[in-house]
Amino acid sequence: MFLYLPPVLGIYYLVPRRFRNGFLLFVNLIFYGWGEPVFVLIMLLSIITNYICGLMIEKYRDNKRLTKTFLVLSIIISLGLLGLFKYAGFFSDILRKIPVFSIMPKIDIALPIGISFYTFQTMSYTIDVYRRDTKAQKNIISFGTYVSFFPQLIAGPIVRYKDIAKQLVKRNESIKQFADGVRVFTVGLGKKVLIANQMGLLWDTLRPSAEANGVLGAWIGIIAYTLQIYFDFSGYSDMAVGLGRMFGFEFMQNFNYPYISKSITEFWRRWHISLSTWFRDYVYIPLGGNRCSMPRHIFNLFVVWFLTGFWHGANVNFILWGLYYFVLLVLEKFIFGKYLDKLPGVIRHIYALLFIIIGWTIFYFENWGEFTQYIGCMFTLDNGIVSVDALSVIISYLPLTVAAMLAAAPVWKNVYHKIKDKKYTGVLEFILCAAVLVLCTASLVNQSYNPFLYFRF
Amino acid sequence: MSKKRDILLVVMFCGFLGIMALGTAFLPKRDFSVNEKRALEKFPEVSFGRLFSGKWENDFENYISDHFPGRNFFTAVDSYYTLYTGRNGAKGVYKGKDGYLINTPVEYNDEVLYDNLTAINAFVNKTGLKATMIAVPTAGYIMSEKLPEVHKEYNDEYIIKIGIEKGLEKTEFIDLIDEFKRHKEDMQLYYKTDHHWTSQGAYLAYLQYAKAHGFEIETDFDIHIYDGFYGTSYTKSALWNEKPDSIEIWEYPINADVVINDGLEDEEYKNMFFTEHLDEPDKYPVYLDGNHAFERITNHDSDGGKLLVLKDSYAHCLVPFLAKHYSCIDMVDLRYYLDSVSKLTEENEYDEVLMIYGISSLCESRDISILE
Repeated sequence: MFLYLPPVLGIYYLVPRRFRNGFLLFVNLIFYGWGEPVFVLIMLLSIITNYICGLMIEKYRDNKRLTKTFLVLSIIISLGLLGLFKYAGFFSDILRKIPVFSIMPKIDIALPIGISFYTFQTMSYTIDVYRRDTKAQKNIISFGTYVSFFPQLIAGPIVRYKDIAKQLVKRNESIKQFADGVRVFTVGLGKKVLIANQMGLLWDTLRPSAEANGVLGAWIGIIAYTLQIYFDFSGYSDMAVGLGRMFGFEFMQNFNYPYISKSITEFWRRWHISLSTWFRDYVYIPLGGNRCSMPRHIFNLFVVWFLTGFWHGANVNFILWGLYYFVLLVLEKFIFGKYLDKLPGVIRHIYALLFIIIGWTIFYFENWGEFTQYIGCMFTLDNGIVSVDALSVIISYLPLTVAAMLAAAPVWKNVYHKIKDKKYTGVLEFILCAAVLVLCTASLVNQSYNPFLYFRF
Repeated sequence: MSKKRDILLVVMFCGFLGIMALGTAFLPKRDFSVNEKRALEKFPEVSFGRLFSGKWENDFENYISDHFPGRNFFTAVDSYYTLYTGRNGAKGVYKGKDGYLINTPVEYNDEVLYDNLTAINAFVNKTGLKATMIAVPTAGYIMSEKLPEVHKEYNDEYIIKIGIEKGLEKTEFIDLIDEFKRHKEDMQLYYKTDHHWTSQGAYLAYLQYAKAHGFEIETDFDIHIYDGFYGTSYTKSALWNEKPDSIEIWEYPINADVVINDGLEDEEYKNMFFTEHLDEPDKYPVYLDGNHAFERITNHDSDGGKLLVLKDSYAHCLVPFLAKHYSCIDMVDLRYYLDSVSKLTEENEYDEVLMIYGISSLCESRDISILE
């Protein structure tokens, strides 16, 4: 962060406008190649093929078969890369359980970072070109910049090409936008380092001893994970949005306080918005959406949620997690949604959070035995209420947990909006941003503990 | 929102990043961290293969984090921030009362303890040596009134009285718990900034051991006190504002020399106290030069027996007392000693074996279980 960002920002603003995309593409590739230089080749392959497909679709617009061929080709390449690098191991493991295939070698391919994000971006591009929602990009450098843009490469948001097509050509970077970028980036950094990492520590402390901790320990543990995953993911998204602004880009908001939802349906409108809209626009609606018979509608939902779950990782528990939401959403839509609306808000909040939290246990545990064991700890009193050790840990993390819960609801945001235009806010904001930067740096320097939760994506 | 505000924010952000970047790039690099007691990473060698495999990038990141400007400052900021947001002990050390920095309880693991004790029992049976075990309780258990209000449980009593004492077969066990509890008010048994026992604590153990062996106890010491001792708990906690300890050297007339062997050549010294370590922040290695695979202490004036000591670092403070009563003491640290100890006992006719361990070594590390 300290050696990469300053020169990149500095040079970016020194370079004449027309070279800025080229420079960005160059540094993006360095960023991407930093950990695993080989994967740059995959990204380049993805950029070049999709670039050509986009051009061809536009060029042979009148020839329906040919446009379709190029669209299918580009989707096959994108999905093929994703399938090969993300899912090959999973499928081969399943196949190897069948006697005939048991001689098949175990496939163990390292997952290139961000491949789930950028393949979804390239697919949205060719599909949009095909649908005439956007024009094909003639300049491969601009296109490459879009696919590889480093701030959102690792953890989203999934930016659709048509949303930033104009910005790729013409950006008006301004002090105001840069300052907004600093604000959002700092908030994101604080979310990730000061909250998510610490909640992760709490979860990692409580989880291994779940059986001894008692029922309260089990619940606080999974609540910590619930907070961790939100602040981790939305922190990264905020950092991406903030950095994007510093370079003159505007990305869509990816999270909108998902944990204040009053139903599961609402939760998915607020959680990882760029992914849900992607699946809505490119899978659900093309399948017919809700404008068809009820069984077909349910089937469409099934497909979307199966894929959503599977996108999160090549493992059965992620599929189960997706289908869990499929069941909940179908139930809400067709059965108890209308009753739910009549209940008092508090109860609806509790209902939604309860199922979201249980959802995260499915999401976390890849192993069925561990999952059932943890659920057991949450719903039985066999291990008592809370052990002394667990209580001491819970108490020591209490101030932070409460602060995190408040931040998961728009409490701090509302306070900020109330005082935004006051005179002292400028000073306050300055001090807070500086403090967060120093504390985050301190935390990063002090602990090598900096796991990235979304590496599977 | 005014433009001035925006400009200030941008300047702050860019300034902070810029200073950090320039600092990282141009500040002089140190080779060694005194606080962490380790050599810092060197600038990684550039080569095409390493660059392409991602190895160079990885090394480079380690290099940068080792040489980050203001590293000490930032670690302290984080430590105090963690402490004052309620998470005392999050870094494995509690900030207790009266300046005590106390390690959090050991991660007790039945299986590890069982494996270690099984190896010890087998060793004692095989060699037929008279055996004694001293297990040092932790400061957190003995000095429990110095702990912060919210802390995890210290299970030393269970571990020592049930786990260790019952688990040992033909080994005499010296229980320090009662004696330590009796004297914790009138003596300082543990350091405030280090997890080890003090000379006073070790002396109590010496009295117990000498009594059990019928030794004539040494009482006439020339005690030297040195200030400015910052121990391991201090380093681990990174609470740089804590006050240092003083460390004591209890000298008595003895004509002993020390041979240290870390697997290569013997190095000879004339004194059990290595006073050059008194110039360092961590002064505990003043006793027998700290951790070594093998150390032999020969007392030329004694006609006592030959003692084999299996130990961790708690022994360093105690063994100088024992040296009076043995003509030869061989200390083996199983964390570093790679040869067979049985072979060593065959070559040297030991009269007895003494094991000195802090309970964390017995419960957490498997080094003892390789004993044979």
